[in-house]
Amino acid sequence: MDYQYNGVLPPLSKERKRKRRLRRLRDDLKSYVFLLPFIVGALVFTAYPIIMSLLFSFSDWNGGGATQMGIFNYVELFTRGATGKFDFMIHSFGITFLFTIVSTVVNLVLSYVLALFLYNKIKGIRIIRVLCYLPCLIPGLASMYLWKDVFQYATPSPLHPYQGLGLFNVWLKNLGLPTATFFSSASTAMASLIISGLWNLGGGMIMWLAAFGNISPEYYEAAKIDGAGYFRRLFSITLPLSTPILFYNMVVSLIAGLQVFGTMAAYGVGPSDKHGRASLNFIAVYIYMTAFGTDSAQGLACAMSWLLFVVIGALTLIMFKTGGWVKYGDE
Amino acid sequence: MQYNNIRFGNGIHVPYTSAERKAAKRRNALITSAKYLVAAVLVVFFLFPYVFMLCKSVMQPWEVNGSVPVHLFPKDITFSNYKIVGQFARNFGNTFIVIAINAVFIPLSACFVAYPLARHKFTGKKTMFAIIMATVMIPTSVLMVPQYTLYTQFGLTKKLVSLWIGAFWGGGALNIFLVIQFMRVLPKEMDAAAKIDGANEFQIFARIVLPLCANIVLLIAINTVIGMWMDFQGPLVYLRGAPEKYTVGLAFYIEFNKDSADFAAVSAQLMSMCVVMTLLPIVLFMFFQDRMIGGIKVGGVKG
Amino acid sequence: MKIRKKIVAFLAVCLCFATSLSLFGGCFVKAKKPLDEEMEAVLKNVDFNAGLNYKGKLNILVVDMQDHWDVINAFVDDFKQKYAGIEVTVKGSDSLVSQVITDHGAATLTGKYGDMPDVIWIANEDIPQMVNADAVMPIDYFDAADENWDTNKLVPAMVKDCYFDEHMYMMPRDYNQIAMLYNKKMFALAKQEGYNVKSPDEFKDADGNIRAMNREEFTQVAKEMNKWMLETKLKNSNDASYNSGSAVELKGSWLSLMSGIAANFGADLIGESGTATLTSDATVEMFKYLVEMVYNGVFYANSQNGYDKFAAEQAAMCFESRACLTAVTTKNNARNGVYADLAAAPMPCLGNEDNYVVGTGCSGYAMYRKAQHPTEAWLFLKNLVKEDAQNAFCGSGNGVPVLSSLLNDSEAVWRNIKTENPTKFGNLDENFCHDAFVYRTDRAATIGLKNNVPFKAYAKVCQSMSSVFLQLMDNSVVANGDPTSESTVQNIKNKLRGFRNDINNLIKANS
Repeated sequence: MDYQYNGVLPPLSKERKRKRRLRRLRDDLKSYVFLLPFIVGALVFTAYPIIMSLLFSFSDWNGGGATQMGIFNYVELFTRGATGKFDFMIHSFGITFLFTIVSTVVNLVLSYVLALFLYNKIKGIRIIRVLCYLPCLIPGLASMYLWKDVFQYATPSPLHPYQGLGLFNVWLKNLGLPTATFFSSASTAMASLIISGLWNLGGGMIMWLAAFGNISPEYYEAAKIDGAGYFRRLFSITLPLSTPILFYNMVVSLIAGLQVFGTMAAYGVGPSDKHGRASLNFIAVYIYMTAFGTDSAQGLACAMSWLLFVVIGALTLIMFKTGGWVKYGDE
Repeated sequence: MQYNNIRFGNGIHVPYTSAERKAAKRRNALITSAKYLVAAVLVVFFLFPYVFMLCKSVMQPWEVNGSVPVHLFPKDITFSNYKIVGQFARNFGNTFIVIAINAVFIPLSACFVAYPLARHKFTGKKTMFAIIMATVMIPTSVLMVPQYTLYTQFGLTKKLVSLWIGAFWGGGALNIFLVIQFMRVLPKEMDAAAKIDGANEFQIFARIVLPLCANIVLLIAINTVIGMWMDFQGPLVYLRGAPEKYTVGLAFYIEFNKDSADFAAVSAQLMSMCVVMTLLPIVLFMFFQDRMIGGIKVGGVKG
Repeated sequence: MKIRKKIVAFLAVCLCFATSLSLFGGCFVKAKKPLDEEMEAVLKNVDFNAGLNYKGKLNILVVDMQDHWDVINAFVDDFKQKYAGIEVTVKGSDSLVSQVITDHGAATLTGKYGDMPDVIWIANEDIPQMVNADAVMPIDYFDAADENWDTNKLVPAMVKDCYFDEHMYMMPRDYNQIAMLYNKKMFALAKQEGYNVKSPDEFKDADGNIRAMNREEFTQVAKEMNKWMLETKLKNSNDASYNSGSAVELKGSWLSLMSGIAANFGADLIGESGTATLTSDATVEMFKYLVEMVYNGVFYANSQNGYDKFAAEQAAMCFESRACLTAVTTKNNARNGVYADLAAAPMPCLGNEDNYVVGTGCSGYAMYRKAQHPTEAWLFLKNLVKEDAQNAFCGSGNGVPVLSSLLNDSEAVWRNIKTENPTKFGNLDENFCHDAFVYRTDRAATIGLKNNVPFKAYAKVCQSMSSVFLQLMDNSVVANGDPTSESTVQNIKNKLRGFRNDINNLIKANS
């Protein structure tokens, strides 16, 4: 790089300035060569599809060709009632956001509590932590079928009281408690999905444990000397120093939650409520069904995905302004 | 300094009496056993899925098809359910190819792209950061339809190529950020020394920096393998219609959603398949446990 | 300064976008040509005089299930014997309709139709969606242009079923009248244990042929059989006890079956005025009956297949068409199947004699709209309904021929599968009642909805109607554990009202 005199640089002639700019350009080029794969990939696989998606959304593209252009897709998306998709779309967005927020909050809080408890020095704690992390290793697709099986429910008839009941329902029944409809009823499907996510607390727990490990023990020592009790230490030291990870986790979870798609394998779109709106019809699933189901309304699917994009973009901008994101752009 | 035997009172160190020490010991013992109790409850809770999976995979058909109420522990063990894994042999092969290519090239290209971002200064660096960050927020559903059209135009659909062609372009913003953080703390003196010796940027990258990144490369590779092991969204869109090219996730979905299957009757085989599918992540975890957990530390912690 | 730059950049992007939109819009939107013109161009490439020595290729796509493979292999073997010069490839798919529609879109985009099939299996419920996606060929044009062929030898009701929006889109391959399959062994065992169960073949008419039971007889038989199943200690051949099953199994989502039952009760789900008549007395009557039987465990309403429990020997009777014979009689991972004990009887008459209707349908094969080998495809479709091909197909046991002459021919293969196909059906009972599948063909009716529902709404209405049946037969309408109480009837009526409104809205939206 440039070397300096003792604080005083001689004025540069035009020739030197040009040479310096050229050299800068050459250095920049060297850096950009490394960035080339990303740029090419972003242009071809991200930018171009996004623009094409926008174009498709203004036509009745069905995968092969379009016969007319216009804003009819958006009109259909914003029309209420049976002819339009507004109710379905709002419902789909709604449950996606609801699921994302609730499951993120529940998982963050509960895994934090779990991590607090397991941040102990009793013997064998390491094994216990590993055992708690194990359910996260079950592949997502497999675990969903597993929960579908465990949470099964079918309205029993008096002659076959156990027919169609999965393990949990059988246990509830044997304990004398009422059976729960879990994934078979629109009102409980979402809750059941969130409950089945509880077994994945291990991942968050490990992250929190790492965070706790990074808090310098001097803080705790000082606090103990000052006579602070457990909860005081928790709220004054542990919690505030965990917030950086909290933001990172929150953002990553929110983004991942909005793209939930794997539930379609085991649960399809979930049971419908009395208005015919499917309870697990997450937005990614809905878009997929619209585009690749028997209707093959790909133009409409593109319109929906662009709406999703706009909404997420707006939310991210809001988070930008209010959160401490700028750390990434340092230097 | 440990002050276990002495307590602080008004700035004066006063030793505990033996009676107080005994009481404290008893209290500690009680607390410890309470902790163990809660830990035991937690372990039972978290191990439940495994117990369920293993038990159900060895149950006989009559136990699962509804003729007796569903129960946890099998009354009679059989391993015939595991035969169904043979049906997926081809799919395992396909998945292996896809995962191998992805696991090798995603971390490598992430390192490649992250190198200038972590170690160089260049014009437009902030813009690049912003762009990379922006790609994080693009949901895959937005890209689903037009990417499908793009792949169709290039004739990539119904071929395994469509699943690994995305591995060469940096591997995604999150991986790039991970590598940047890792690379930042690597020492820079060797760069300067190599430059003086006349090495160009690429040689510096390949010979000096990349070998030091072995840890993070391994970590990203493992994460990719575990993440894509049963990935189902990509194959569902791009491979539909070419059954001999299905990956395991997709074949699993098709097989167990078939109309002709009564769910209860095949649930035992489904569970045996799940057990087999879980083996890979567990094996990886056993070997690379420290690195994986260490990697979560690197990724999670903000300076 | 920076803000101004940003605004300028933003406006520039918008301008670029608008121009590209108009440019692209121009070139990627294509108008549709009228059908007659398109078909003229297609027909020019078809050789209607192709003989037995024609050389070519043919690609066929069917559903990836065993009974579909059996049938298509029978047809293809027969075809290959005659047209030795045509190379035939058959592929299976796990989600046929959506795959064809998506691939059709992709092929239209690239212009490469080489990988697309020429002939596709199709069920009559799928035709509307395929037509909407422009994926199937209207073969009435072929019929008109081919002087050597016409449809009058086929059962007319089936031909009509293949018509949609005035064009014929499918060549019917079978005549699927729904009959009642029952398990002889279970009835014999029940009698042995002293229960007063009459076997369906004890109901005979004046000529000594098995006749359809009426509602009282059928309900009585079903209830007695269910009583035996609950109380017996015996186990079936899969080592499962009988008491976890139900006497009768039916596929609640199968509209051909359910609309036939509805017609028996005098209920015509969609009235002639084109609106849903779900709240009529007859409909409520029917649902009362169904709900009561399902709640008491006598009926089991399956949403997927109409024979799963029956084949696992957990149901004594089921309502199915001939097409499931292979599936029921074959052993698989989960069960042994019902083979030597399989028997058939006509569909019971659940309402008045005058209203007696038996649900019927057909499936068949369609030609892909942009088939690359139309000549070979047309030859194949014509061959489907020739006598020897129909006999070959029936040899697989999965069908009743659609050729009128074979229906009543006692020498026809379909009536003699025990001797014609001993490997698969050698153990079938000698007295298996084949007549049950052609019982009172004058009373056979396809789904009546087609006549009263506009073309665009048909597929969606059928889907909604199926879910009406499923949702009413899942025990959730029963109040206080009493399926005959007033509140249950009220629940039924309320639900039906809701469905009626939904379906009417659907019809209005799509007319």
